[in-house]
Amino acid sequence: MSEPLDLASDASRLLFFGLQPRRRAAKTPEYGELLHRYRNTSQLRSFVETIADGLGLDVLGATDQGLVLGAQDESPFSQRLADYRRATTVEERMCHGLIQVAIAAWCYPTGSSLEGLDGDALGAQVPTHVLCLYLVNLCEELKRRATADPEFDNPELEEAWRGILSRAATKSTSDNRAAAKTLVGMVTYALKHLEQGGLMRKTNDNEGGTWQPLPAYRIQVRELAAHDLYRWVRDAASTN
Amino acid sequence: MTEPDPDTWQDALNRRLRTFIRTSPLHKLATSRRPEPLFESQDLRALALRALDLTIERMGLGFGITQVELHEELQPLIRACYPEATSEETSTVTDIVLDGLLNERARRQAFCEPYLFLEDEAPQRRSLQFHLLREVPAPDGTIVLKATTEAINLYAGMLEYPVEDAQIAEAAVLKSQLRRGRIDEALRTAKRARIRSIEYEQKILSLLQRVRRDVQQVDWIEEVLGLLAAARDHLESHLEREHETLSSVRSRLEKLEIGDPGKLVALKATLEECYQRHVQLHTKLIDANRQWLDEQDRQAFRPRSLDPLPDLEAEILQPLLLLRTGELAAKTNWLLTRLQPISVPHVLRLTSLVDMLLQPPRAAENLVADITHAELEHIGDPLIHFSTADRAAADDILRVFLNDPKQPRRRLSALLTFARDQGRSRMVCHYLVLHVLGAYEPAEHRAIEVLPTHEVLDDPDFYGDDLFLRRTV
Repeated sequence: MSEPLDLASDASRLLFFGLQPRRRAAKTPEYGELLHRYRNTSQLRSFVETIADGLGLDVLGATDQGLVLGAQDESPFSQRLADYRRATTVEERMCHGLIQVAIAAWCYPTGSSLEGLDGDALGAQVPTHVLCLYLVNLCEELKRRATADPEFDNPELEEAWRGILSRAATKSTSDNRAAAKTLVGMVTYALKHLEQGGLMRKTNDNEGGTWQPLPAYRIQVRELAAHDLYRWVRDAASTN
Repeated sequence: MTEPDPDTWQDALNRRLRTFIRTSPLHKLATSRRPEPLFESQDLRALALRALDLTIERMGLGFGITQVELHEELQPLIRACYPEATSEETSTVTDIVLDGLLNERARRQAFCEPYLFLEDEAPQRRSLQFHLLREVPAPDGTIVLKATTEAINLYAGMLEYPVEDAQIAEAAVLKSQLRRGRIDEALRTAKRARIRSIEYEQKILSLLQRVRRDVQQVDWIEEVLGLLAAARDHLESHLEREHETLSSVRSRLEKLEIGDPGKLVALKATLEECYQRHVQLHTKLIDANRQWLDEQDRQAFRPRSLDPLPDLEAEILQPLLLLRTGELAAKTNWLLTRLQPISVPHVLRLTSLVDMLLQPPRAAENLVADITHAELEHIGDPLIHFSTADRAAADDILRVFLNDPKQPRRRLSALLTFARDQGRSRMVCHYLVLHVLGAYEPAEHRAIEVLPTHEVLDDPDFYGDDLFLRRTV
């Protein structure tokens, strides 16, 4: 085998491991060795990033535990609502999207915390009930400042905070399990999904379940989401 | 921040003030305790310092301490103050101490304390930001707690003097104590030197980590190269001093000169640990420039935004909450792509599915379930398809049919013809067919043997294979 083929083979193998987000380099010697070479060999890095791009993936970074991959828009690897969760109303779809931003904002409220100059330090714990309360309090504050009446019978035109507050008022089932359509249920689902994707770990069952972001989550939020979110908010503000 | 001339009283005041400010999280812990007997008996500041002590100790031996290990280590101290404390209560106390050191209440943001900084007698208001503990993944994937350089410096009680100067000073003190045979004091100095070596290691590793994260964060040529050269020189000199001290200790141990052998062994182990740490650090420093070139090469073509990172809470989440629901709902897929992990499409392999279905069921252990038995209602007797008379008539026909000694093996088609000739009803014929099919099971001993003819059954009412029938002995 010639060298470019060897590099392509190693690069593909590294991506194979990277596509298994819960696989840890510490537990898989081959993965650890490839990751070390990726971080220290520009040739292998080039191959990995080129092959990833061809697959619709971005190599966002690497931690000691593995590669951090993100999906491009329209990539076969991108998360879509149809695969994520069944959402029948426009309000439910909005909530599922907004909750993702709320989780990221809770974990990394400021630019400096997102910067991560402290290396691979784990972020703050995310207790489900506390996060829901945090989001509801933000919405309550906006409600206090609101001057305009809501658009009745047209939920699409209502401000998002109204949708969050009405979702928070949705009761859970009689045996105290959080139903999928309550705010707590949606937040719990999002955190569990992040855990399954190797971006969070569960620490305990207190407060409805408490999770903690791993270094890979900070890398993804910083490299894939932060600037895009800012541009969207800026453009939306100039339009409205 | 450039350090002012260390000889001025302003400099000393600034150093002391910053050191004092870094103890503020511990004082806040003391005021945060609950009015309960468990907490009234505890000194949370002492527990916090012990937590730092244990963390630094473990950093010297490995990568840090896990939360579980810290709980176990603090439990005796908590119980010593409150013997009735249950495991759950000791965990609660430890969690409060850890939350205080990690600044969990502020979502692990840096502690931020305003203070007065004096420069040329002109006061300036500044803000001191620091961490004391961090939770990081160790190389083996375990999540451990590590103390920051600020915490180590605070714990060691120094006034922010450069760690290199502290190491040189302690090495000189250690040498003097050994020469005078003060082994107990030498051991205490060696332990302080060990903390200093951990602090130094963290200082260098933090710098190298910043480069790995973003080469543009550091001015490699003007700032870092000089620091690395100075660090290499310091380490080379320090390694020589340590080697000399170690040789002296080993010599005393071999000759069993002045001192308790046990303490000399402990002293040797501490010095060897520091020596190894410095050797590894020296190796990393030699390789640092090449790593920087590699990182620059890697990061040179990474598309980077010129904008600073936004505050997700104030600049993103709050404005988004004001947008219309429909506008946000239209961007849900876009948000999920960026803020949820990648979705790996699953391909169904039939062989894998079959293997999975054929796996033996997993043995369930300790199942505790409240099984509610359904209340059944009697809705009537089960329907009988074949009457007793039909069954008796069919058994009779079969017995007569198979009793012909001239034809020990006969066909099903002939049996059905015989039954009709005897005036039997269609129900009897149906029962005969089912009875014969039931006797086809080879594993069980049957009164009749049924074998295939490999020919089609010739019958007006039934379709299938014709069968050979034979009475078994």
